[in-house]
This record gives sequence, C-alpha cells and structure tokens, in this order.
Amino acid sequence: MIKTIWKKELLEQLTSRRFIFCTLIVVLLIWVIGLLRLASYERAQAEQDRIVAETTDELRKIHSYHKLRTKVVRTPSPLEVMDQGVTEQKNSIVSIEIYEIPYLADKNTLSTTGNPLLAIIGSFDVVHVIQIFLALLAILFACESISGEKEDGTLALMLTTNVSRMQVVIGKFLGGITLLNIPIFLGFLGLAIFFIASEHVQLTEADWVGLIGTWMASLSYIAIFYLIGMAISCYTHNTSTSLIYSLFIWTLLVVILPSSITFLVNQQFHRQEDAQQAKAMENELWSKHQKQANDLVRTAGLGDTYPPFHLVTYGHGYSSGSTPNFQIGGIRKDGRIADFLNMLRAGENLRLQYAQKVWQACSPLWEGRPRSLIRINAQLQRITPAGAYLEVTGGLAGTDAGVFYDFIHQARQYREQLLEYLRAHDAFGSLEFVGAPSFTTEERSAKRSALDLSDLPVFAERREPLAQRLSRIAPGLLSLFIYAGLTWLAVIRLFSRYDIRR
Amino acid sequence: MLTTIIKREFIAHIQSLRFSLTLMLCVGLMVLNALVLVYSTYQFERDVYRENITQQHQTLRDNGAAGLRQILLEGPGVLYKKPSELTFCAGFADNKLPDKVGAKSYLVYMAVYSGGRSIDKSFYWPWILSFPTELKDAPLLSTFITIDWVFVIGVLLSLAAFLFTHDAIVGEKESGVLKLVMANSLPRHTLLWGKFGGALLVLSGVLVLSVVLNLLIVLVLAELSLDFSHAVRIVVMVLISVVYLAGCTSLGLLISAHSSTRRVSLTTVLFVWVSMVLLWPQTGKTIAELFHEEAHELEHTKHVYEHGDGTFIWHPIRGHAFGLADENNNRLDPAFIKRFSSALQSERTHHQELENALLRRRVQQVNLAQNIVRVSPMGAYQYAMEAMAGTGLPRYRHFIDQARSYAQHFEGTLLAIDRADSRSLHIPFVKYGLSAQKVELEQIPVFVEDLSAASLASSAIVDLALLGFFAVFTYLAAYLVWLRSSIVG
Repeated sequence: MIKTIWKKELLEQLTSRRFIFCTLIVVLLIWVIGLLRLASYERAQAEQDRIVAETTDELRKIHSYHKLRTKVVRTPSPLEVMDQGVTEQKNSIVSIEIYEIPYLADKNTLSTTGNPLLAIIGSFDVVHVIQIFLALLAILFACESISGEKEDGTLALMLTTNVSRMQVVIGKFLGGITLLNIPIFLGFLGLAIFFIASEHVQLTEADWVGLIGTWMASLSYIAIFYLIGMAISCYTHNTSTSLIYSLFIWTLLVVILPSSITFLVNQQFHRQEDAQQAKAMENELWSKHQKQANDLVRTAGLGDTYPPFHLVTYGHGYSSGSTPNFQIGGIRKDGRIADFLNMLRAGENLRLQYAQKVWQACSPLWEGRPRSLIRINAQLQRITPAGAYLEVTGGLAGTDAGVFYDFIHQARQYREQLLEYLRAHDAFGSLEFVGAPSFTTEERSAKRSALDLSDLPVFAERREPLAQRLSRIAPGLLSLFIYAGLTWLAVIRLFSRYDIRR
Repeated sequence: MLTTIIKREFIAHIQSLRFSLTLMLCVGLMVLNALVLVYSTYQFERDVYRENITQQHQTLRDNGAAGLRQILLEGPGVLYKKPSELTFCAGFADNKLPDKVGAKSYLVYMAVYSGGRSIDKSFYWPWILSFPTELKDAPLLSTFITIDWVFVIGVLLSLAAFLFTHDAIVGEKESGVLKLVMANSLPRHTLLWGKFGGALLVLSGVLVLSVVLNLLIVLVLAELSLDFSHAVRIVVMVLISVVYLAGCTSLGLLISAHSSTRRVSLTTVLFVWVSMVLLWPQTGKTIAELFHEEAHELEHTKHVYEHGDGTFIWHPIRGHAFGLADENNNRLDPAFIKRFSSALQSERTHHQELENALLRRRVQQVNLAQNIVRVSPMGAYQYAMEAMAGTGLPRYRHFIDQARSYAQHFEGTLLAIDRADSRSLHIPFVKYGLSAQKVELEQIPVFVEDLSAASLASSAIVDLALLGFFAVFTYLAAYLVWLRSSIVG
C-alpha cells in the first residue's frame, strides 16, 4: 500500500509544471555555479603553483640565515567547487619565519593577491542553492500534502480504505523525498561529470566520499524541511494558512536565525581592540628581549649592545624583535670573531625563547579568541537545520575551519623542522647568519654568493585523514538526525490526531 | 470608490496572519539591530578614529615646527575615513572596505664611512597616495546577510509585499468576488490602484513603525550624535524603501494578474523573490572574477619594495644620492639637487601611476560586479541605501576622491609658502632645496571629509533611477496585464 501512495505522490507532482520548472532552475543553478567555481578552483591551483615557484626562487637568493623566510600554501580542495566554506576568509598562504610562530590569520587582514575590495559582494555556492532554494521547495510541496488533500476531499476517501494513517504518512514522505532527490541527484551527477572531465581536477577517494556524503546530507536536510512542511500541513486545516506558516518557518530557520547567530557572534569579536592589545604585549616582550640581550653582552664584558658588531665590523645592524635586519659592511681582519659568534649564538637562542614567549602571550588574542568564537558559532548554528547542514557539508568538502587548523598545525611543525635544520648547521653561531661571508671590505665588492640551502627541508602537506574529518562533522550530523527524528514524531502525532471532517 | 477599495484592502491585510507574522519579524529584527548598535563597536571605532586624527594633527604640528621642508618631505601622513553614524542602516559592506589612505614618505637611510666618520646621505622617498587594503576590523565570520535596514526592508518586507499581493487578483478571481466587484461601474485601473494602495499602505506602516522604534532605541540608548543632515538622509532612505516596496507590490500584482491559479501565482512570486533578493545579488562576484584579470598586488609592491615592509631594493636613485653630501657635509651644488629632485619626481609620478592603476583595476572589477548585481532591484536598493548611509563602495570612492584633492591642496599650499621664502632654493622633494622656516598648524591644510547628504546623493542617482524605473515599469506592466486578463476563474 505504501508503494501505491508513493507512486501516486510521485506521479502527481512529477508531471506538474511547477515541479518541472523548479527542477530545471535548481539543476541549472547547480551546474552554472559549479562551472564558475571550477574556473575559480583552477585559478587557485595556478596561484598556488605560482607562489610555490616564487618562494623556491626566493630561497635561492638568500645570502644570510637571518633572512631565511619562506611560504607554505594550502592545496585547495576540489570540493571547494561545491562548498567554499571558510576558504574565502582564511589565509591559505602562511609565511614561515624564524622568530614568528605562524598562526591562522584572516585573509582580508593581510595584503592578498586577489582583489580584496570584491569582498563587499557576497558569493553563492552549490550547497547554498540546496540550503535555501530546495528547502523552500521542499516545505512548499509538503505543506499542501495533507491539508490540500483534505480540502479536495481525497483524504477522507483514502482513509475509508484499509490503509493506515502511518502508511499514508510514510508513502507521502517517501514520494516527496524521491521527487526532491531528482534535482539534487541531477545536480550532483553534473558536478561529478565536470570533475571527471576537467583535466585539472583529480578526485581522491576522500573526495568521492565527500561528494557522495554531501549528496546524502543534502537529502537528509531536504527531508527535514519536507517533514516540517508535512507537520504544518497536519496542524492546519487549509492550504493558505499552512503556506503562510511554512514560509514563516522557512524564513526563520533558513534566512533569519543562521544570519542572526553569525551577526551576533561577529559583534563579540573586536579585531582592532585585540590586535592593539596583542601588539602592545608583543612590543613589551621584544623590548625586554633587547634589554636581556644587552645584559648578556655586558656580562661577558664585550660592550653595551647586542649584537656586538663592533667586535668584528664597522657596520651596523638592527636587532628589532622578530625581524632582525643585519647590514654589515665587512669583517675586520683583527676582529674577535669567536667572541662575536658565541654572543650571537646566545643572543639568537634568547630571541627564539622570546618568540615562544610572544606566542604564549599573544596567541589567545591572535588565535584563541577567534577559534572559540568560531566554535560557539558552530554550536549555535546547530540549533537550525540550515546551520548544521553547512557544518556537515563544510567538513565533507574539506573547507571548514578544522581543515585550516590542521594546516596551520603542519605549518608550525614545518617551522620546527627549519629550526632543527638551522641548529644542525650551527647557523645561529655562524657569520653566514648575519650575512657576512666576506672578510674584508675589498672582498665585499666581489659578488656575494647565496647560501646553499639545497638540503633545506621541503614542506609536504598531508591531507587530513577522512576519519578525522568525519569525526568533526559528527555533531552536525547528529543534530540533523535529531531534527529529522523530532519532525517525524511530530508528523506522526499530528496526523494520528488529524480530524479529517473539520 | 478608490478610498473604499484601499480601506477594504487595508483592513483585510491587517487582519491577516501574514501581517502579524511580518510585523513581528520586522519589529523584532529592527530592535535587535538597534540593540546591537548600542552595545557594538561603533563607539570604539569612533574613539580610535578620534585618536588617529589627534595623532595626525600632532605629527603635522611637529613636522611644521621642524620646518617647511620637513612637512613637505614627510607628507600629510595617513588619512582616515570617518566611521559612518548610519552604519546600522546599511552596514554590509562597511567593515569590508579599507578605512585609510596612506600619504607617507620613507626615509632611505644611507651612510658612507670615510676616515672613521659616517657621512649622512639619507634622503626622503617622496610620498605618494597609497591605498592599503588591510582591514583592521573585518568581521570574523562571513555571512551574506547583516541584520540592518537593508536586510529587514530589502529581504523581509519585499517578501511580505509579494505575499500580500500574490493573491490580490487571482485569489478574488478564484473565489468569484472579482466578478461581483467588476459588476459595478468600477474602472479596472481604480481597482488596481486600490489594491496597490492598500498593500503599500500596510507595508509602509510596518516600515515606518519598525524604523521609528529602531531610531527611538538608537537615540535613547546609543551615544550617537545625529544632526539635521542625518535626519534628511534617514528620510530619503525611508522614501527609497517605499519606492522599492512599491516596485515589489506592483510585481506581485503583475504576477497575480497573469497567473491562472493562486498556487501558480505563489510559486512564481516565491521563485521571483528568491532569485531577485537572495540569488542574483550573490552572483556578481563570481561573474566579475571571470571577466577581469586578477590584479596582483605582489608584482606591484615588488616594484617598489623588497618585502613590502618598507625596505627598498637597490634603485638607481640611491646611486645618485651619493652626491647628496660631500665629506664636509655642507657644500651643496644646486644643479645637482635639481637633477636629483627631477629624478625623484619622475619616480614618484611612476609609482603614483602604478598605485592608481592598481586601485582603478580593483574598483573597476567591483563596479562590474555591482553592475551585475544592480540588475536585481534588491542590488539597486542596497547600493542606494549605502550611498545615503555613507557606507559601502560609493563612500570609499568618495573618500579616495577627497583624499586626492586634499593631497593636491596640501602640497600646493605648502609649496606656495615655500615660494614666498626668498632663502629657499624652491626645489621640491630634496631637503636642502626647500625652505627651513617654521609652519603653524593653522597654515597647514587639514583633511576633512565632506559628508553632506548632497555629496553622497550624487552616487545614488543611478540606483534611484533604476528603482524608480522598476516601480513605474512593473506597475504599468501589471496594469496592461490586468486590462487583458479575464475576470472569470
């Protein structure tokens, strides 16, 4: 019997002009957005290659270890085509410096290669089409399913047969979901074909799981809205009231609540205030470092200021905080090189310790607060199915904040590797550190050779394991299931008490 | 007869469920918007702005006291954009745009060691107007919606307008009322006017009520000094909103007159609303990115700096600079200074052109995106509101234009003072070529942005025209369709 109802529901809607029109629009939207995003993805890939090549080139030109800085770039995920998540906001390029521990910065607070002014125009993803458009369709189709049949009088006729109310609900629900699956399936099928056809995209197993997972998540999300529509339909007795209620609930759950939560969480973040506070702490610590380094020199009886360049050269250098800039003219032949190098080693190790201290003091402001606010936002977003849905799809597509946390963690590990490399080469206690490979002023004019950094460790990004990604989306999935369960119970309860005579 | 229909429509609307829900949502969100403003960062932003301005004036005063040459070489410093008081009306784009323009010079430190002494050959790299894009106050989480007037009116009230009118004609046709009404000697245009007027009256009522409530909370609780010009701008914004809602109402009537059943009409209005209000405004960026080459800031920066941190790469001018001082630090050859000055000037012009070109390319790309978005009345409405509220791209461009004319005025005024000093060599950009006389702060032009309603309204003209066209065109279309449609369901 369920099958008959399912078939009836499906055929009734499938042939309606309304459904054909909406399906066409949704599928076209998904395909067009997918194609446009595919072009952006290819650009992002080219940009990554360009930056990596440029960084390698720059590394070849470094003359002194203290100028050693490089960049690591996050490989864009192909599923960004479906859901950009936070990739538009978080910085995919991280600068690796000796005296700065990298932290996850926002793109628009740094100079970027794209057009930062474009941020004032919003952008739309494939998942947004489902989140907004298909949810509206689902709730509209469903809100007439019971009250509409009651108005037509067919519901009473149907219930005079030996079909149970439960069977009616199941049949109608399955019919609706099968129907709404058509645009989603066609949309995703198109995306899969684009992926396979594009020579720039190579989907891994995890990506396929992400793609199929997103399709399933979309289906569950749409099911929730279909059930909400059915519940409203069982609650009201005429279609126009149920339409108005459905629209109100949809506006609230899809448009107002998710944006209001983000809006309110954004208000709790005071970027400028926090940055000023962090800057003040950073400056204080670095001036402390300078004092302590000067004390080191004084205790050793080698002068007053660090670095004691007077021991070896006429030149000068700035020892300013995390970005020392040493410019020395040349090394005196009568210079006390050994003393200078010992001092340099001690002083630069002290600078490394201070880099750690600066990180400890400032990281709550740089990263701690944003992270906790992002977490709070994610938790609050789970109140609405739309928020939970975006959390799940972001996790599946590898474009949520967690992926960036993993990336920045890798960047920090890479910096540690670089420090290990410098220590292994005793770089902090070498003249190459300050950039003086020549020993006399005359030699300085000769062409200076760049450092041999051929054995420098190379950054190898590892993609986050699928299991880790899936564990991250578990709360979102759970709230989707809870929503589905609750709305299902509501539909059953309301329909079992539904008075078909009123 | 017209008043009777308007009255009837008005009463029918305010008794409906959709009216109660609309009123509840709009008022609730407007109150939320006002409360957020009260406890938001606006005050902090304003304090930071004031602090920056005080600091800038102090720097100008100090440089002026150090002599005309100092202030001419160092430039006016960073110019800050004043935070707009009306951000709560249309604040989506405001904290995503830069709030300053740089006009600072850099001291290129050069010293040559000779005979155990160092001879200072440092010089100032002439200042240009630079347009930094780092954002100090960018929002943490991205959202395509901000709870402000534009959202409440542009998104929610427009949906209400569509819902109020989608069944205005087709509904009465289905129930048979239309036939009875038209049996009287009632011209069709009067009925349409009546339905239009009734719906618009209710929507305007909700609009005015929620705006007044919002402003009351803002004025009572927030430390916001609104003057007459703000009042004018707020009134203009309300009028713009009414025109936009009139367009949406007419569009709803058009669909209602054209549809065969209520169900079709509802599906169509919802489709139109989602596309017009939610989908289309989000497509501009993606399309604009396709048609424009990305402007690479790095390439540009590299031309000027090594690491973007102010350290200069080797530049031919540095070679020239060795002639800036001799070993006794005093004999100066005016002919050499002149040559050096013109070399610096040509470099300055070149850098300014690069900087301008980069900004022009970026603004052009955003303009293209906005023009795409403008196709939707929601886009035109948002930009018109932003222009009147003094936020968004119109305000940023206005700020840049004003900064440019200020920079010219600054240099012109100070060079005029220099010309009046007979002891000066009148050679710009080089320390020894300029007057050393002291300048008072009163003599130095100070940057003040003109934010009068008239200056901002000019940037809203296109959007206002588009909205006006939208309202008139949809009404005429609704009228024509209604004239041709049958009154029998």
